[in-house]
Amino acid sequence: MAFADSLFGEGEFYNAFIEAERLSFFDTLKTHAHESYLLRGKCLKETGQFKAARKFFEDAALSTTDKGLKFQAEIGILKILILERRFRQFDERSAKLEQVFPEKSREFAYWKGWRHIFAGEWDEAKEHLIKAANADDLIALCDSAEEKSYSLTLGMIMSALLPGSGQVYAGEYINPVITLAWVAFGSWLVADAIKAQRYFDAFIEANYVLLRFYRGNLSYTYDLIERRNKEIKNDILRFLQNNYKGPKP
Amino acid sequence: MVAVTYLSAQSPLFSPENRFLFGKHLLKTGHAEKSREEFRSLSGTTLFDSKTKLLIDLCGIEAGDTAIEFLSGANPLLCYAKGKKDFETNGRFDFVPGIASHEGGTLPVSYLKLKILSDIKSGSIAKEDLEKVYLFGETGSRFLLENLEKRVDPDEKSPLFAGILSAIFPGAGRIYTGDYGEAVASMVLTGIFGYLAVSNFIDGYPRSGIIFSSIALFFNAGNIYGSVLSAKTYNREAKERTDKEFLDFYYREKPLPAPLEIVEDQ
Amino acid sequence: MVLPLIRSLQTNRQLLMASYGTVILFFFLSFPVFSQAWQPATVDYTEEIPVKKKYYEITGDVSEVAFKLLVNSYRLLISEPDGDNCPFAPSCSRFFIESLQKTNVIEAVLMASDRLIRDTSFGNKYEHYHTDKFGKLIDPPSRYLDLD
Repeated sequence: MAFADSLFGEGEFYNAFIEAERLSFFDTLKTHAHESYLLRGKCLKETGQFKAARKFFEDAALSTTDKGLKFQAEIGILKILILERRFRQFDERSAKLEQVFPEKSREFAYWKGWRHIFAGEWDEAKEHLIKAANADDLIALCDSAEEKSYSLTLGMIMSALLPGSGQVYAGEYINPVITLAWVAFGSWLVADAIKAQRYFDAFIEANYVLLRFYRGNLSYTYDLIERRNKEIKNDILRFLQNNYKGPKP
Repeated sequence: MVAVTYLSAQSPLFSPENRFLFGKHLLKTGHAEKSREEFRSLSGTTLFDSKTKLLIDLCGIEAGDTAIEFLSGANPLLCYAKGKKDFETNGRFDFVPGIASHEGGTLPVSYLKLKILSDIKSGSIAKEDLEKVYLFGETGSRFLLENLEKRVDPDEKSPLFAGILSAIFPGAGRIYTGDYGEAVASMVLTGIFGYLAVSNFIDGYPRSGIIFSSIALFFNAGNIYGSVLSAKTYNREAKERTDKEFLDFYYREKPLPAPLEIVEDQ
Repeated sequence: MVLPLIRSLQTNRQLLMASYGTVILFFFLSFPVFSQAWQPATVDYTEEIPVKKKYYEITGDVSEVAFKLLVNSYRLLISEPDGDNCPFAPSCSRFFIESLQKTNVIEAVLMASDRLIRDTSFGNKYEHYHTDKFGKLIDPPSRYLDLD
């Protein structure tokens, strides 16, 4: 096992995996099962093979009765779920684990904070990080992200009431003018057709001009605000990945 | 690191017998290169016999090497291993005569089964080989015969007929090919703009009439062209479905033994 | 003159194409996951954002400039205000331009018309198409070429 660990330390992940596999193959009494599974899981995680890594972490958790070791393996799985952005699975798993490890609530709160950071849910992240220990830096980042973020609800309501205004709120200036022009043109076409009692024409023009660009306005606003918020989230995540010194997924 | 490596090498896990066992395990679990390293490490020991050399060559084939290291390329087991690998990678392999037989042991029978599978996949099989399809069991042979029939006599739609139908009535060609959603869309779009064109001309709005006529013509041309494409796509997807069913059968039923299993049986 | 001009316009955008060679893909997926050469993966925390529609740089000779202005105008005045409501990738305008590059004007117009019909169609589109990582239905022009 020491040999496998040393290979892992040197960054030779495939060789470390094979040596851990060798140990497991001959370990008929399963004395080293936990260490072997854990190391293989770590090797797979380091090389980006997350799905396979999760399987080995699960086996590592099942192959030990020591609560501390089991917990470490489960945290390994939670970290991978964060990296894979499998948030629903993370939530389900952490809820079950909290019942098994009630004394580790602060650590769960910390990783839940990370989960919400990855999802761009700053309020929820802050709520959990406050309960965790040594997460003041992360809380400050959540606050700054929340301040910069745009409200999707507000943007959509603005665009619904006045086409283009939601886009102006999100910092776009040219497209709202064009959108408003199209909606105005569509409205004129429809009104003109109704005045001339060409009701079917009015229906078609309403559908293919007026409503199309009105719906387009809403869809553009939604995409724009989502994009802006994702850019803010990515800035935070990039900073965390490169500069944050605390425990990371 | 050097000290750890040295001490590990003295461990009983690295004894020749254990390396041989572990090598076979690695070959079974898909680590062909590492498996080959284990077998090669037996060089200079009594375990480095013809069987080990055969296993090294099997590892080479699994790892995708073209050159055989020890044995001859005409070795029946290596021919089978290479054929199976090629079949799984490319869908066909170079058949070597003189190995396949419906009796005489696992290897000749497996090689014959490999030939039958490859011929069925290509859609062309000799009568004497077709008669041996019973080697796959009742369910397997029934499936393979049905799959062969789908390749020889596929369920096809005529692109010309689809186009003519759509030219007569927008969307009819799509109904013929089973694209009901697109059929309705063709009818609706061509119908609406056709109606608008006619009504605008009748009501004395020639400019609008011309615009709507152009749009109607645009969609009608697309409707006819799309129906032809839809029939051609149907035919291609039917072939892909047949291939997928074949693959599902192959990986579910595993009709061919792994070369290592044959070595262990011998 | 227009066709060589259109063909000369290259974009750096890589389309995710569903492989109709599911045969080969299926075979590879059937083997154990482990590759023979594992390299450390630099995990990227950031989330990929779909590439925004690009505008062409107005460079080249008169005809190139005219074409690029036309495409840029379409994108600015129609495509962007219309929003992202095309379920397909590439979008219908992009599909038309790529069809022009691969075939001729008439065939490209017919393919574009067919694409618009399919865009408007009812029923479950997911039966016939694969989706890319952003949930768009993968439908490049190459899917309809060389069908014979």
